[in-house]
Amino acid sequence: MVGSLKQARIAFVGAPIGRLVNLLVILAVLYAIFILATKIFAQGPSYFLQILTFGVANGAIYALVALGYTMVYGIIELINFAHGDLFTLGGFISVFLLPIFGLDASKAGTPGIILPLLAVFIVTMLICGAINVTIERVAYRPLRHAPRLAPLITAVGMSFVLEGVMFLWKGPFNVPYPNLLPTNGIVIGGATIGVKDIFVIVVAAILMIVLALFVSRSTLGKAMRATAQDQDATELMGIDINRTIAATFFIGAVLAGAGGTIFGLYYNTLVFDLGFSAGLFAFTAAVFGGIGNIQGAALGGLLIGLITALWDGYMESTWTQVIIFAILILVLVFRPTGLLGMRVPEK
Amino acid sequence: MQRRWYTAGAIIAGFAMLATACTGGAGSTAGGGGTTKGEIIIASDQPTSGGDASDGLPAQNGIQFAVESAGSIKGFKLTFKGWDDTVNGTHDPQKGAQNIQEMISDAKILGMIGPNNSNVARAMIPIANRASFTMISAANTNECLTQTFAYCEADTGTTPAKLRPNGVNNYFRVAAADTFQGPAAADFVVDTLKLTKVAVWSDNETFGKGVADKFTAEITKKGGTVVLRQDFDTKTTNDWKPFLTDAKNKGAQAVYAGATSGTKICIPRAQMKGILDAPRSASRTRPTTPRTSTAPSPRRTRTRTLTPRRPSTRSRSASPRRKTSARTPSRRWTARTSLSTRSAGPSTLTAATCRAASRSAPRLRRQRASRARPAPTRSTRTETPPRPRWRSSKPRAHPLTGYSLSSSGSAASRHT
Repeated sequence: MVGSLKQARIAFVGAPIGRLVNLLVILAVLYAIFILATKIFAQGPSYFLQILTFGVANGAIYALVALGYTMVYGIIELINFAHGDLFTLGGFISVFLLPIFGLDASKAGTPGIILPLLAVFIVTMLICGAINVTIERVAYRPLRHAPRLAPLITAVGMSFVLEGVMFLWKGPFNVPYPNLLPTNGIVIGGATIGVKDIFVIVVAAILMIVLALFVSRSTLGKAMRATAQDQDATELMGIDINRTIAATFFIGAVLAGAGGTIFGLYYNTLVFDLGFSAGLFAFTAAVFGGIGNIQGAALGGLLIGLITALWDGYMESTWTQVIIFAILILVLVFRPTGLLGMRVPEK
Repeated sequence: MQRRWYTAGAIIAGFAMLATACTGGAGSTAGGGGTTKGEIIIASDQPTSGGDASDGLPAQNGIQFAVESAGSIKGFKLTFKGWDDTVNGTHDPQKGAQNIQEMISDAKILGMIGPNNSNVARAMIPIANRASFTMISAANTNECLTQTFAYCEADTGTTPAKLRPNGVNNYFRVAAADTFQGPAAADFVVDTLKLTKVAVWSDNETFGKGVADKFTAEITKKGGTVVLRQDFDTKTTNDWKPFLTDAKNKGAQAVYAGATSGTKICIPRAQMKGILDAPRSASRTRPTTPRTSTAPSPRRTRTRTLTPRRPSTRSRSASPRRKTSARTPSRRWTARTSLSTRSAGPSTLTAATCRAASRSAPRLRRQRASRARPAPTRSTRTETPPRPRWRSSKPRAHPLTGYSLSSSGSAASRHT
């Protein structure tokens, strides 16, 4: 906090030409916050609570995808553009698995869906993990020591490959996803918090806690952190780098697969090029929170979900993306490493 | 080194296969009888790849099906050949212009069906006009393609007269223009449903925003109010719940969507469940339960209350509707709503794509059904009057106007 204030002061006072611009930007931000606050006050608390619920549920999905971006970036400094499409692929795989596990719309909301749904989740996550490990092995590992642009462009290409596969598999249409979760909800203070919203938030929270524990406590997690810090030194210590990186890709894809399934269950629709926009926002979330930082990605996702919901609910939704990216730019001006970012050493 | 050669070989082989597949798929021939005089090719231009393919592919399938079903005409064999106007995942006027030049240069091609998008049409019409080449679009709705308004020059940079340098018209369309679609839905909301407070959203594209604006203007003129108006970037928006909650808070009785199945119209439709539930129609006032279950009964009521059927629709769609009614209620609802969007645009089956698996072109199914079993009870005259319930005091806007309001009032509409 102190650091950011100091940076703000430097940016504000330090540059004589930038002073006026900074002043204008800060005034604009204050004005926007003021308008938003008046509107929030005018519309009442129950509406605000309702919007917050939507925001948190949305943010949870963004956060799950953002984690994959941030983990891969943290360990090999690659922005894996194919990650968003892996998320979509997770949704497609789960929609394919649902009938195999005997789930269809007729069983919606019954307690009998819990176990099969859990199985669908696990199988989807494993398949996604396997696919991502294969992608890493085939497309990224041969380019590990190539100039950094090469794996980046390969990732973009991989993203198109995955989109193409999904296009051929399910066609260009919106794929209907059965509405399995109960549609009722709990009314708290005038706001209806749906079972779906709770489900999304709880599942995402469980996955993120498990991930945090895994990275901080397990041996493999320790190896990952070591690899992220210094690959050569880690290798000298006898840690198999390839295995560690593959594990990172696996875990990122597992979360993306879960995210895709949750997205399907929540919105009941999927489309083959969903990964492009979802990936863009998740990547933004990762940068927002500080790319390479796991807690940062979760926070960034949550914030983007909240900003989207608040702006959609109170202001013009046409401007939602402008606002998200404006906030991102502001955050990066004052904190170039993101909200919780750690400085990643430039190689 | 050897491995590299293998890789290179594999890549070349892959491209070769792809090339074969492309040339094989581009044109396909139909086996019709009595083909002594030669061949006539009917071309089509649709966005059949990328994100627009959800509109373009069913359309192309429908055209191909129609051409192949006809087989031959007056001793000429009919063949279909499809062009794709997609560049980088979206429809492209330049590509459309290039396509039509290719079509014109092939003497066997009699005319073309398409394009799907008005801006592509704007690029294609002058080229086709100079060559006296017939175009029939099933989906263009921009009014300035065929009608002259004062604002056409400023808005679109051209006028119907400028589009036709030859002076003789070569361009026809079967979809109703934006000037009819939006107002017709507004008339329906006010006159038939007796609703006055509407929330409006659009996909912020030429067509979606256009009809949403015209809907807004008409409903205001009729004494109704638009309580909330938003434009979304549907490429990145997945959550309409804040908008819907806001609409509910502001007392909206219906939601009008200026969007298409390609711009995610189904998602807000699904998200309305639990927020804006029951149809609030004065003719059938039903208390709004805050969270209705997915029980089939209200849905059936909904269909009857809110699906307008154009006179011309009834005759064509009667038999498939009956056919599908044997299925589960939700499917039945789907079939009805989709069919009520009239036949013209294959890309219009919004409600159908919302619910049913939408892989095959619904148009094909419908054509087959209506061919096999002509409607037994309905007269095939287009002037068949609608059911009395739908008859309003005013005459309907335009014979071409086709529209539908799905259960909560979002309009399933045709494309630009």
